[in-house]
Amino acid sequence: MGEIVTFERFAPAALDEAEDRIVDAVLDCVARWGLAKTTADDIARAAGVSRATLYRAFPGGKDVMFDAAMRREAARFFLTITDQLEAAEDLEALLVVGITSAARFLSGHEALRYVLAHEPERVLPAFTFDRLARTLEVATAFAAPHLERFVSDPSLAADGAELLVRVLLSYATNPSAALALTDAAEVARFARTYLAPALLAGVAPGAAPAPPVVPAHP
Amino acid sequence: MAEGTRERILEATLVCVGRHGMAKTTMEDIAREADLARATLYRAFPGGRDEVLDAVVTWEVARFFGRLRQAIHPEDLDLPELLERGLLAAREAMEHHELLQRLLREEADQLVPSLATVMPLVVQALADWLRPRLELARLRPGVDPAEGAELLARLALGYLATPGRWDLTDPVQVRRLVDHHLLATVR
Repeated sequence: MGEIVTFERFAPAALDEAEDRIVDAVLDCVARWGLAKTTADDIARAAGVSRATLYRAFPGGKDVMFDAAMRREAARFFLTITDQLEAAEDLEALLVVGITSAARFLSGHEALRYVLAHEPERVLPAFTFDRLARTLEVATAFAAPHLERFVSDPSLAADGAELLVRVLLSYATNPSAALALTDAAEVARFARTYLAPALLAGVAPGAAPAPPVVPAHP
Repeated sequence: MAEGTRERILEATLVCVGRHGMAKTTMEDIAREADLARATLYRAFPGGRDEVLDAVVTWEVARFFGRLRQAIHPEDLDLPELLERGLLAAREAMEHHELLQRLLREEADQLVPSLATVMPLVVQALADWLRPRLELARLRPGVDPAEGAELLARLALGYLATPGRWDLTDPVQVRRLVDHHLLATVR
């Protein structure tokens, strides 16, 4: 994988209580009015803090607050599914819980849903083309250790994790008539038929492929 | 509306976007470039600027895959060949598509939402290329050719847009990607 990427490196610094409350308020406001129309005053009011407190916590203003909200939500997402992933007893269960939990988190996130529906230009570019590469790295670094429990070769686990993240992103951003990501029974069939065999393919004796040797950012 | 008029408007729009970018292209620019009255433009695209810009993205994506089809002749290829040649040729075409590259650098916020609306059609079109080959290939029990074709189309497009740590200009790596990751999902 070239440079080793660990999930922890991307985890945001812990927020203090006031910052946390402000981030909650940011998400409430964005779910209601979107990114463009949400003002610092809206956020201060929703958080029940003064503008002075708001700017002390986030001196960079609105964009810094949005950024902090995104980071905290990503961290919350990873935390939410970590326990569930750790409880999975086999590869299929791991895939099902990973995919359905991620899909539920994304589809149940009101701020994200508002922005995707009304201000897609603010989020979609970060999930396509070159800018997706970093998201892929982070998500892959997060998922790989969980896969390693069932796919013993770390480089195969990393490749498999990347494949899974790509599958998830594709079906989540462009829903398929053939597969509802929040339906555990459907996802189980899909995982059993297509994903688990692909992840285990390289593990069969004599079939281990050499991982690609390329820099992290060609 | 005559198909010729629509085509002429889209050609003109592409020229304007190349010249001014998406955000600054106006209906006046397009009318002037196409040498048509504004009223004609609005008759063809009642939704105005947004509709023309969405249409031009869809049109150019269709032309991109049309050129790809001519370059690789998918009908003569089996499944692994189609994926390998397709990925190599498409990635090269993408990297050399100057307008695409410039828009991704400078106006991703304008381009990407438009592209996202065409994505379902692109996935479907690619799945339609792949499906007949899946029907001929030896698949694992339980693999449905239509569902497998859709998955492969999504994955191929994903790696194409964001190769990540894969170098899609290297035929050896592309072969490994196709063998170990794409095709491993279905066979």
